[in-house]
Formats: sequence, structure tokens, C-alpha cells
Amino acid sequence: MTEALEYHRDSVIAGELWRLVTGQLVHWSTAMLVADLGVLLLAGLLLARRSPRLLLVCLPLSVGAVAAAVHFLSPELIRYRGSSGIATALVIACALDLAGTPGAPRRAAIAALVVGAAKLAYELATGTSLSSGTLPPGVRVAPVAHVAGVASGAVAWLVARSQGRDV
Amino acid sequence: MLAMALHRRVVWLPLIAILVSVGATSGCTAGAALQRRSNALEFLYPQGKQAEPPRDVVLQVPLRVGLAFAPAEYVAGDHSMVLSGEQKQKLLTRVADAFTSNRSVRRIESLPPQYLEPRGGFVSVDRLARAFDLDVIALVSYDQFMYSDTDRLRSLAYWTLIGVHLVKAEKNQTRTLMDVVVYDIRSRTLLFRAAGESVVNGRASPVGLTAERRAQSNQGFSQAVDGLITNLKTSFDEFSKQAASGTVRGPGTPAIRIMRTPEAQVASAGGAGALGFLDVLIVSMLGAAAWRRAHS
Repeated sequence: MTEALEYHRDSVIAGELWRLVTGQLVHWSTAMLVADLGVLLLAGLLLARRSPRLLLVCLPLSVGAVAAAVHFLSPELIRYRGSSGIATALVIACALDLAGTPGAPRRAAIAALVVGAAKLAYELATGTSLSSGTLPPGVRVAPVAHVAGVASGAVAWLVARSQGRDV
Repeated sequence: MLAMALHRRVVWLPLIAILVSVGATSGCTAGAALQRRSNALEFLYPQGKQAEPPRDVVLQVPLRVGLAFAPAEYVAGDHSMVLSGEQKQKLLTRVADAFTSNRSVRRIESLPPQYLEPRGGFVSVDRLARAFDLDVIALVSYDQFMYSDTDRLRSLAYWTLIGVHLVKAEKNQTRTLMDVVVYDIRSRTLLFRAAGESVVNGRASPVGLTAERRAQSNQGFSQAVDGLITNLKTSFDEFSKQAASGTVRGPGTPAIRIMRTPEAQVASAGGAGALGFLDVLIVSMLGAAAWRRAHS
């Protein structure tokens, strides 16, 4: 079942475009599923409470950005699974949103952005993840999805902020 | 249309290049200038042979690649300065080593120069493909000019697949151009190309001139290979992206289909869902700060 939903380059080129989206809903292992969905749910709930509009902008934008990044910017990737790109986008949007609140939220947001930037830089430099644990043989971290997540989270925050004051 | 235009260019370029290069060097005093070169186009499309038009490409990834210098052609100057087989092999090894970790490449065979007959064309390539079980061939051309002449400086012509490249020669200077063309052997189609260039300036003293030239020559090739490797990786990435859209070099060029072996599919699988404790920590920190704010 998961194989029919994962991103598969040749199948996408052959017309199975849904894989661009569904590939971000399936995972390589249970541990990966728990980590991804855990972060996604926590950040999603936080955003839903603080800024539903930002959540609504961020979700479709990040799905599209990650799909485009995997397909166009990583031609060497043939198969892809994982929702870390969307989760990263939500975390970044959350942090930027909280950075506007003085006191502990701002400090936490700045710390989160700094740690997140360092983690991403490490992934880009080494092609491995600091904290993802063991992945199945032949599977490696795709930092490009996280870059797309960061970019789409920041863009979503800017868009939502320009649209109204519930951000 | 574009393919035909390129095809015509491929046929005419060697002739133009020879004329221009001969014109550039013919007036030099003996020993003042040295030019040596090998040219993939003269090898693949020799004069008088009808070139086959390129066809659609089907590539089986990971690729089995043959890497070789196009047969050398001595042009002018000191005969002892010819690039030796050992030097060529070292340069090829550097290029091959840069691609060993590329998952789209199963193996790269560095082929000894004597395996390619001068002006042998694709007939010679086909023989190598059968012998070494190759999918694509990467042919390295080079063109090196060494000038010590102070009076007869002139513009020199480098030729590449994309056109004649004119440069101004300077005194005691070694200019090196290396160019790689990568062909799908079955379809005779050019997949991509890349070049590397270097300019090395030397001393003017005639004492130990041969040793100085040799050192400059080696340095020139070494630097040109550095640039070549960088540009080759870029070209390969661009080719991979272009191939994903179904054509070799864009609209009007041959269609391409990439077949991946099961081994390649497993080796190239990528999981982006690589979040872990650090990400949970970050989002928990944000949640805790927001919660404290809401309840303070």
C-alpha cells in the first residue's frame, strides 16, 4: 500500500502526480512515522490555537514546496517518503509567529530558529541527520525537503501577516 | 531542427578548427611554440565519413561509463613534450574518482589511449563498449598551447563542441583547455559536455626551458582537470534534471527514457522524514513558551 503512495520519480513522470502529495504522508519506518507526526501534530496544534490562518496558508504551501523541491532539485532521488518537510514548515511558522510575542516566547522562538538553522546547516554539509535515528538500508536524509520546509514556513508567515492580524 | 543544426556543426567544426589552429601557429619560429591536442570530434566524426543523426536515448541507470582520451594529434613544437600514457591515466583517474560516489554511476572504466584508433569513430567505440560492457563513453579532448616567443604573440583558437574559442596568447604562458563529451553509445547521441581551462604563466629565462615547460604543462593539465571535474558535475546534474523532463537537451533534441535497475531504486531511495529528538525538543520548547504565556 505504501509503495503505491510513495513518491517515485519514474511513476510521477509517467503521470501519477498524486505521489507528489501522498509521498509526504507515508514513512519508511514506525520510528520515523512517530517522530514526523509527533512534531507535525505539536506544531499544528500550537499554530491552530495561535493563528489558524497561518496554519491554513502554511499547509498547502509547504506540501507544494516540498514536492517541487524533491522532484526538481533532487534528480538523484528516485523514491521519497516522509512528512518532515511539512513539519519543518509548521515549526518555522510557529517560531516566527512566537517571535512577535515579547518575553519567554520570543526567547524560545529565537533559540528554536538558531538550533533549527544549525541542524539544517549540518544536514546540508554532511547529508546526514543529527537526530533521525536509523533509516532503512539505501534510505538517507533528504535535506532539500527541510530547506523547502523552512522556505515555505517563512513565506507562509509573511503571507499570513500581510493578510490580517490574527497572526 | 536543433539536432540537425548541431549535427551539421559537428561535421564542420573539426575542419574549421584545423584551419584556424594551423593559421594561428603556422608563422611561429621553431621551438617557440608548442601545441598538442586530442580531439573527440575528429575521432568520432572523421572527415569523409557520413555522420549518423542522433536517435532517441534509453539509459539503464546506474551507468557503466567508459572514460578515455580521444586519440592525440601532435601539432607543433618539441616532440618530447607529448602527454604520456601514464600522465593521461593519472588525469583520467582523477576524473573517475570524482564520480565514484555518484549513485547514478555503477562503474567508470579508464580506458588506455591506445584502445582508440585515430579517426576510428563509433565503430571503435562500439568495440570498446562490447569489450568493457559500457553504456556511455566520455571522451576527453585537450588543447594545450605553450608560448615562449616574445615577438610572435597572436590570438590562438581553441575549438570545442560549442564553437571556436579565441584567446590572446601571452609571453611564457601555457594555456590548456580540456573538454569532455559524453555520448550514449547505442544511440550516438551527445548527452552533455563540460570543459575546464587553465592559464599558467612561467619564467622568461631560456635556462632549463624544457624542464620549465614540462612543469608548466603538468600544472596546466592539473588545473584544467580541477575545473573540468567541477563543471562536469554541474553538467551531469543539469543533464539529470533535463532528462527528467523527457528530452536530452530540451525541445527539439532526442527523447530520453531512464530505466532504473532494482538495485538503483533501492540505492537511491531517499527518506526526508528524518526528524528526531532535536525537532521534538524545538517544538516542545515553543509549545512550553506559548503555554506559559497563555497561563501567566
